[in-house]
Amino acid sequence: MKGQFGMEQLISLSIFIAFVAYFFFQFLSLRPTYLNEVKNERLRSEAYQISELLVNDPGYPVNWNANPSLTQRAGLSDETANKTNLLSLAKISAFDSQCASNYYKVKKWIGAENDFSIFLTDKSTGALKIGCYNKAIVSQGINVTVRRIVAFGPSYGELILQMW
Amino acid sequence: MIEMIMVVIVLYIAFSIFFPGFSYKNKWSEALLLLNARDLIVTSDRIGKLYDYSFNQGALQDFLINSISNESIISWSDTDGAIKSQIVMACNCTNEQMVNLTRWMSEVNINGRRINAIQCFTNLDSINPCMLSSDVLVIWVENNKDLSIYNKTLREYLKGDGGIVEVADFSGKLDYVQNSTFGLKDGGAWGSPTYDIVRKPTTADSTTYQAYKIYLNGLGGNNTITEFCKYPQTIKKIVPLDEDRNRVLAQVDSDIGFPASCVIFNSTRIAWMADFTDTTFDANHTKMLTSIILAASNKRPSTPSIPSVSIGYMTPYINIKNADMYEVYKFDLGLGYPY
Repeated sequence: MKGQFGMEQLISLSIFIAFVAYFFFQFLSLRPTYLNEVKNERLRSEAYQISELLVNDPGYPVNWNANPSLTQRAGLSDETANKTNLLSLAKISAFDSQCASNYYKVKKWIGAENDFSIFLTDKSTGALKIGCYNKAIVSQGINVTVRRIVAFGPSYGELILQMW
Repeated sequence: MIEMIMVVIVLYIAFSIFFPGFSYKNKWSEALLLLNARDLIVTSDRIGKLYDYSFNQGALQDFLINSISNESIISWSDTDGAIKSQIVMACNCTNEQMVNLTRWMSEVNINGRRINAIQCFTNLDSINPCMLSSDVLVIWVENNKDLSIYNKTLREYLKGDGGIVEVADFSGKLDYVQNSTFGLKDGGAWGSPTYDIVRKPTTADSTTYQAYKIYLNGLGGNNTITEFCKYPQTIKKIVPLDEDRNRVLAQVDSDIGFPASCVIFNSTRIAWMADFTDTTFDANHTKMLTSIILAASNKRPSTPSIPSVSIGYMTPYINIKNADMYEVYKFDLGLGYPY
């Protein structure tokens, strides 16, 4: 007889529709997770690059701390020693004071696309050498943290870079 | 109905195979571990503490605890190519010789660090492993002892990383081991030496180079030594089997033919020294023996000290120290997550 569905056909069709719907929504739910992971990867990459810039690059000009108004790139490496992981105390001091007066200027100097906070603590004395963050922005949840161990003068400390 | 249920099961299995649950894995934590280890080593070098941390586990642990914020990270370290801070010596010698060795090696300082020597007796049928394994075997031969019967044992010992130092004089024919293992031969007639001189190696890859550095720079020995090779007068004159002067660390000042040798290396880990206790000896003689023992000793990492970790990486670093003597070695720092 034409136009008639049997019970088994109805059940089969329901099962088929349920399966298709299940996997369709499953696929849709993956998309934001995937995009979020891609964003995190970009953040990690940027955080690492900035940490390398701070730790192992003297900046441009190499003595930018002497005249901050001419600074194009800020790095903390001691250009007189030219050794990895050895920072200049004068640059640390200049970086901290410049960031305290203008966070966005420092953000431009280090080429950061995202917001960040940078802290440098002297492990010998516990003194905070750098406390650089945007006081006007409330953190939107820290996504990436990179910790670097660095030397400055006879002492050493931990540089913590966070991005979100 | 049965067919439908089967279709549902088959579909479920098929879909779960072709569309597995989403999981995004990255190596960020491993990358941070490697970065951390590199930073720790380089920073300790920059603050001038790497040499201290390489040989002082307590100081290294203090530094790591103070520096690593992540408490779940565990660490381990090793050195390769440097004289160990604690050398285990298996000695085939008499009580008196053992007492003397202990005394001579009790206050050895090289590049500002103390070298502790631990001695234990051994026979040559089976080498005493002392604690875990000995770093050097000292054979202090008396009365022309024939070492040929121990050839296999000595060869087996050399397959490890330990060295062999022999202190001996020879009045009879040199046995097979003296020829093949120590590379010695009878040098013929004696001349009339008045003192002994320390030969400066011509290249840094010479077998005598390290002992020379330790003796002259590390322990502050003199270039000339009171003659001891020809005592007692009845002993044979010894020279290298191949008459290669580069294997001689000390020799007499003047002689007939090839100069009599007082110290001969057959490799960086095998050395012979004439027995200086047959005559009046001084600090130069004992420093010479000490430097030979240190040079021939095992410089490989003591034991595989890698703890059980889920993920871990060793970071190598070549370090140089040049206080008393130029010392080059590899420092390995391992960091890992236990789970």
